[in-house]
Amino acid sequence: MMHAWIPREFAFLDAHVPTLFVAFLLAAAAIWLIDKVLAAWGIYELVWYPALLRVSLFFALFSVFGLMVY
Amino acid sequence: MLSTQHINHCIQRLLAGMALLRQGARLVAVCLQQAGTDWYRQDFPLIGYLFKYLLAAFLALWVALKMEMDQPATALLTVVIVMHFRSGMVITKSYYRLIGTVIGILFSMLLVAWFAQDRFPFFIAAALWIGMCTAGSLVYRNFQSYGFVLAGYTLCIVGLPATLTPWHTFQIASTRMSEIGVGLLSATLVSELVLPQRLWENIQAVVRSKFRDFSVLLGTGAPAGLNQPFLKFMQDIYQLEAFRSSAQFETDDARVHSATINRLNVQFMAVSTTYVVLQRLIQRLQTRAASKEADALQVLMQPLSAAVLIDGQPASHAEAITQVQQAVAAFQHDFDTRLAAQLQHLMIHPEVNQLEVETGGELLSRLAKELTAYLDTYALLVAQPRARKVASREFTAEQLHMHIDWLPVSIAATRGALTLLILAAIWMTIDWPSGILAMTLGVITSTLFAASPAPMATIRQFSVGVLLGIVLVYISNVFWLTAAHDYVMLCIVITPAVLLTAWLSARPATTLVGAGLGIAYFLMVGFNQALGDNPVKYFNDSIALMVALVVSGIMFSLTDYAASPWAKARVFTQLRKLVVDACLHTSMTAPVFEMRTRDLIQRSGSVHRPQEAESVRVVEALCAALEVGHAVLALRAVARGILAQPYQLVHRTLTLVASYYKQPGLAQQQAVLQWLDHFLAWLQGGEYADALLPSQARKLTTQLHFIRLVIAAELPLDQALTSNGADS
Repeated sequence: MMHAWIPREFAFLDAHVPTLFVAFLLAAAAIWLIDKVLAAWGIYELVWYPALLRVSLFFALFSVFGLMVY
Repeated sequence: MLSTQHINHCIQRLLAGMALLRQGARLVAVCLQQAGTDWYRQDFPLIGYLFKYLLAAFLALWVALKMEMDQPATALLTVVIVMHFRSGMVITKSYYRLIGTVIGILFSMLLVAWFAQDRFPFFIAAALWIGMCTAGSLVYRNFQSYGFVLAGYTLCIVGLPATLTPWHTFQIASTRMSEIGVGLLSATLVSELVLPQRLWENIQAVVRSKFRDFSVLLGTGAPAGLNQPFLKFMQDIYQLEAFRSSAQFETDDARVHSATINRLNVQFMAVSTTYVVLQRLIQRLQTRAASKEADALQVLMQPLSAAVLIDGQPASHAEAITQVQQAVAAFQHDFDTRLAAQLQHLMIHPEVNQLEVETGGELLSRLAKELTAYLDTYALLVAQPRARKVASREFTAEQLHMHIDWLPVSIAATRGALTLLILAAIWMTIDWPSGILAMTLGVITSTLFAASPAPMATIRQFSVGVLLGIVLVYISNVFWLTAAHDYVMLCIVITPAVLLTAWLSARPATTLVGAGLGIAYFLMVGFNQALGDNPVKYFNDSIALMVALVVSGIMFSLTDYAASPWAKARVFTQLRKLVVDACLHTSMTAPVFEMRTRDLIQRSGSVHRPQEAESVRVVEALCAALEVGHAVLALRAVARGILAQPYQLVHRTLTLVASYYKQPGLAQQQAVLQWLDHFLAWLQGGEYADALLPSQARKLTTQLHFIRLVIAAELPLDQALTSNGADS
């Protein structure tokens, strides 16, 4: 329902930027924050493969943001 | 009867044989297991690394081709540049590469927007930019320095092609950006997910080996001289700092412990310096035939030496470390009584100068205090890494301060700018199609190797790699690429180059050869716009790479600052300058002084050549500077709490010491020594009674006496020069 009012691309300083790119940046920023929190709480010590968790979380978030656009 | 015996005998022999066989089999199994573990520990990571490298390259190539990018080779080049054995290093490198690239692209667009119609201002501005980036790469350490290199080099791969077709600038910039992004993402994803190599292991290894070496040194003394171990410690400190700064994107413990590691480094600097200063004092006493004092200090030192080693071995596990901690605490606890006893004991020898033992005692108790702090942090980091939770994140450790010498920085900046201008001039005057490539490589070499301690050797190694790359490109372009029809075959074509690059760059001795090979190969490989070979372009490009190397080689040899005798003389002058700062500027604290002095020596490059006589001289000078600098700072710390009249005397002392270090001549030395004698006589005469407490007076006396000892032992510069002249 959100994709009804989020455009798929927009003009930034007269350059066409795909909204997916913004979603990517947002997901990266969110993961950066979540990662800090997880590390501070010591969650990574309970995880079998921390890197995999981090990457998967990123893709999950990115997909969520991407599905809002498309 | 006989036959039963015979059978029994046979069975026994059979059993013995079987036991032997079993033993043999077990031995073989153990050997195999050992060999397997060795292989797994030593060779398997390398094979895994090669595999990862290949995987990252294939992934980048596939994505770049799938997205129909102009230059898939740029994505591959990015992979080659950022790939590293350690996963954390790859992410950090990628992060700075991304920042550098974005800034470089923005500047390129600005530059094209301003000066696209006129090339002279364009190249002047570009040269300024390269100069700035080179300077930045020299000022900052580790991968931050790398970001500057990339900001400079991006100008060449975006800005220069854009000058030919200014109306395509934005398109060029965005495609380059996407290509680099693809390269970075594949490199980081692969190195994170496939067989990750964590930094935390390296950090622990360095931390442990440093502790072991220092315990042994403390426990057994330094029969072969202090210089080599001291240099080794400096290397370790900066290596640890390099690992620490790359650990911020790691998923493991390294990141959480970042502040602790930093604190450990700072404390280790302090404790190693104090130890060296103390040893130098003892040596000096011994050479001055004051062996009673030296012996007394060694007797005082002995329990501490015994405390750090357990059965002659450095502590390795948690209980042992606790034991050492307790022993050091016990040493600290009854140190004062033992010092008093020792002084009492020396009373009977009238020729013994008690002040020297007191000075040494002061140093020894400082050593014990710093050792305790270091041990606490070490135990926190190594023995109970899981127990840290909140406590270790509480404090913010001091950053390692930098000492920036602007002269070599500006020389390097000029060199980078001039290299660009010379290559640009060649490009413009002969209208040469491969000029851009020459400028790209020229800028890469002059910025990347600006911080190298021996740039000529670096360039030579890199050139070998570039030559190899050129040969490989010929084979790939002419024989293989013409036969490649799909993605899989393309992968097969690039595999040899990728594997060779990975293998060479994984070995410390040939890292630069690998870098040269990878960069040259992926700058020239023929699947950018048109697939296949174009002999004219190939030869032009090869000549461009050679010209770039020759020009930057010449520029490096013309301005090889680090190797000139002038630079070495400057290091000594700067050490003295730091001592002067320690005397006069209140902003200088002991850790800052320590870090800046060490950074100065680290940057002078002597640390990398510990065997040379020159390095030994540098370390001597460093120790001397640390010695007097810390003494001066301690004097200032003592003087902070005292009244106006004696404070003025201290102030005069500091000014005199500063003037001696500013202009180290015989006259100044005599002046300082006379003044110190005068001051000491005043203190010992007991005339201070109304101005100072006895404890303050005692502290002042020992510090002043120590400064006097150090300065009296120094050969003034004019004498040193004449004695050097006599030698040669």
